[in-house]
Amino acid sequence: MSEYRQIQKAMDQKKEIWVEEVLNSIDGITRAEAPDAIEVKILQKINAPQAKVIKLESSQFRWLAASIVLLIGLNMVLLSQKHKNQSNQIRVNQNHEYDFGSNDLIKL
Amino acid sequence: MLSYLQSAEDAQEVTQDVFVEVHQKLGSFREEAQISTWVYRIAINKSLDFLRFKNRKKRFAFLTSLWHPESGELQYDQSDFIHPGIQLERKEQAKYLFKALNELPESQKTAFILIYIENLPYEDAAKIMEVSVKALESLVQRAKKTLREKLKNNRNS
Repeated sequence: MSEYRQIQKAMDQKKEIWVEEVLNSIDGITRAEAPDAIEVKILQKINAPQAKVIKLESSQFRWLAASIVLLIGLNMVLLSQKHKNQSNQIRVNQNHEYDFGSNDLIKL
Repeated sequence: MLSYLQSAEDAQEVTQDVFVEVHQKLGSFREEAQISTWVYRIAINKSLDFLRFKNRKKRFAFLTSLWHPESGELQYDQSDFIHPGIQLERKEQAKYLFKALNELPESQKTAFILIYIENLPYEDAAKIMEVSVKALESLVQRAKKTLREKLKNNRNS
C-alpha cells in the first residue's frame, strides 16, 4: 500500500512539474509581427467607399413604422378573407354532395 | 490579438478591422485615456466579437461541413496553435497552455493575456479592462488557478 502511495505521490509531483513548465512556457515570449502586406490592406479598407448609413428623422421613422403596420394589417385581412372564401366554398361543395334531388332517388 | 484568436489568418482580418475603426473613430477619441489603451480596448472588443461569431458558427457546424472544402483541413480546430514569439524549446508545452487558455472565461483570458503575454503593467491592463488593479489581480489569480486545473485534467485524459 505504501509503495502504491509512493508511486502516486511521484506521479502527482511529476504532473505538478509539468503543469508549472507549461505555465512558464510563455516566459520570454516576444511580440508577433504583422506581415508587411497588412498595411496596404488596411489602407485599401480605409479608402474603400463605405456603405452609406441613412439616418431617419423621427417623423420619417413613424411613417415607416405606420406603413409596415398597414402592410401587415392588409395582408392579414386578405389572408383571413381568402380563408373565409375557401371554407365557404368547401361548405357549398359538401352541401352539393349530399343534396340528392328527387331524380337522383328515382335513378337509384 | 494573435494570442486571443490563435489563428494568423483571423488575427490579420481583425487587425484590419481594428485600424479601420481607429481611423473612423479617431475624431471621437477623448484624451482622458492614452491612445494605446483605447486601441487595445478596440482590439479586445473586436477579437471577442470575432470569437463569439466563430463560436456561433462552430455550434452550427454540424449543418455544414467541418472540413474546408478546398484544403480538406478542419475549419474550426485551434488546438495546435503555437505563438510565433514562443522560444523554440518551449513550443510543445506552450501548445497545451494556449489550448487551455481558450477554455477560460473571457475576462480571465483577457487578464492573463494582457499581463503574461503582452507583459503590460497591472495599471495599464486595468485601464484597458476598465477594472480596478485589485480586481485585475484577482482575475489573474483565478485565471492561473483555472489553467492549472484544466492542465491537470488534460494531462489525466
